[in-house]
Amino acid sequence: MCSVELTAVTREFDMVGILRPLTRTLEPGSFTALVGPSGCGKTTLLRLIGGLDAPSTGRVTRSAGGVGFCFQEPRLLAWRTVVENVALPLELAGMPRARRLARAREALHLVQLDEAAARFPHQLSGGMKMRASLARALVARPGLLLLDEPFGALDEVTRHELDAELRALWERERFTAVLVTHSMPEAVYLAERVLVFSPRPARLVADVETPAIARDAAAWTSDALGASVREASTAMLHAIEEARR
Amino acid sequence: MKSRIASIIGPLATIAVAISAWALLKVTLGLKDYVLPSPLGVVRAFGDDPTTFLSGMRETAVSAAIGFAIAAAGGVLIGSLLSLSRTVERSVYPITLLFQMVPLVAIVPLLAIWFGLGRPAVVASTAIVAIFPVIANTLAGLRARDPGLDELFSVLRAGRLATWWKLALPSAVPSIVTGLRIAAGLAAIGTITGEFLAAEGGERTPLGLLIMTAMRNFAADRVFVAVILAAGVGFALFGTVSLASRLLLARWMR
Repeated sequence: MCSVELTAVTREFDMVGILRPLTRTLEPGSFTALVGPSGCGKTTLLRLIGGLDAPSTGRVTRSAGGVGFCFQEPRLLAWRTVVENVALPLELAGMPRARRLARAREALHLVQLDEAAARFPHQLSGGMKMRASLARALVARPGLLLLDEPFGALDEVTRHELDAELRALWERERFTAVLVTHSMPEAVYLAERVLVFSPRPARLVADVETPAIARDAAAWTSDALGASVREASTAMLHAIEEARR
Repeated sequence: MKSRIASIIGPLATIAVAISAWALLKVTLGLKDYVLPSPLGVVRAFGDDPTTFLSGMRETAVSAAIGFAIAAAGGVLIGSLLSLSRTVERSVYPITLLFQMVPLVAIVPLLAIWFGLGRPAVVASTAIVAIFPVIANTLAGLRARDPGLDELFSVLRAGRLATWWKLALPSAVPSIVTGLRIAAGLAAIGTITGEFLAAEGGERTPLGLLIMTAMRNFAADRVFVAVILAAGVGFALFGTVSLASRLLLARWMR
């Protein structure tokens, strides 16, 4: 588990502001979603949180623990089997082959992809590729998992399935997770807390705790869940609209 | 299975037709043997002196294989070095084009001066003609990869060498293999051309020199034998590389 502290963080590219000053703390083991209109700078913020980019001003402090990154596309190496793909982060870190492959199989088990270990990426469906990508992000047991619209390119049914699994995974493993998405329902469904941003340059317009019922497995099919998700989504959309004016 | 049989029978039928046309042409036009030998005459010319031809074929095949191997290794190496920086590529790549532009026959005399008559000059001639497609395809393959994968490797904090070895080179393999197949086709041409001008005669005279000698003696039948065997060397090299690349590419095929 890993906590992240953002202190007056800003980011500019070529004198153009991407991110207005932001101060927030992400608690260890929390699940935070970043939402906002597309192109507003969410991905930039995600990269700052993960230490892949340095802020123009301000400070990002991350407690110890590795960072796992899951992109919108699976980004698997076509010439490697699934298990070799999943083992890549450990391989680059210099772990011996037998150990890293064993770890990769464990990660594949987490995402229920055991039987595909020896297959090549082109033999997998879109959903399975994304699972493999998720396993690769988790294989080094990161304290912080960053997800950049990971299931955005999948069909609706597969996306819901993977959302549910990601949440189950988080509940079991309790890594700190940050998700970028432009889908309000997905944000409310997955995260405990949603940071809502204005159009670019991104300014924090709402910091919302999502209704607990959205994370209650028993309520997944109930009307109450639907209503609460709708309510939270609408509130966040209003915040963005306000910011536009 | 049916299509495989057809793919064997088809070319065989074409060859049979070509040989018949050849025999027919000789008979109807009444061509002399020193202009156009009969198919049977070519077989006889080989049968009269098989050891010379077979040892010549072996000499040529060895030179072609060594030259190809140098072109393959050198081409991948040079292509990789060129890919390291745009500036280096822009300054050096046009020079490598020279290999392609200057007619090989014009270079071989130089090679003969530098290396002397014999195998080294022939191998150099082979490598020079075969290296360009390897360089060009290596460079193209190394350049054309998904930037998302580069980002993945930078996120995983991979070093430059690891990125090259585990990402850039494997991504370029299909393109490199294409270059190698082209190079294999060109290698035999380079070898025979080199042997025309820079081969050493004697006990183990290679095919190129056998062709030259036979030409001076108006022994058209012996020229035919050597040409057919030279084509055999080219086919063998191309076939070996194609087969090897197919096995290697199994992982890259979609």
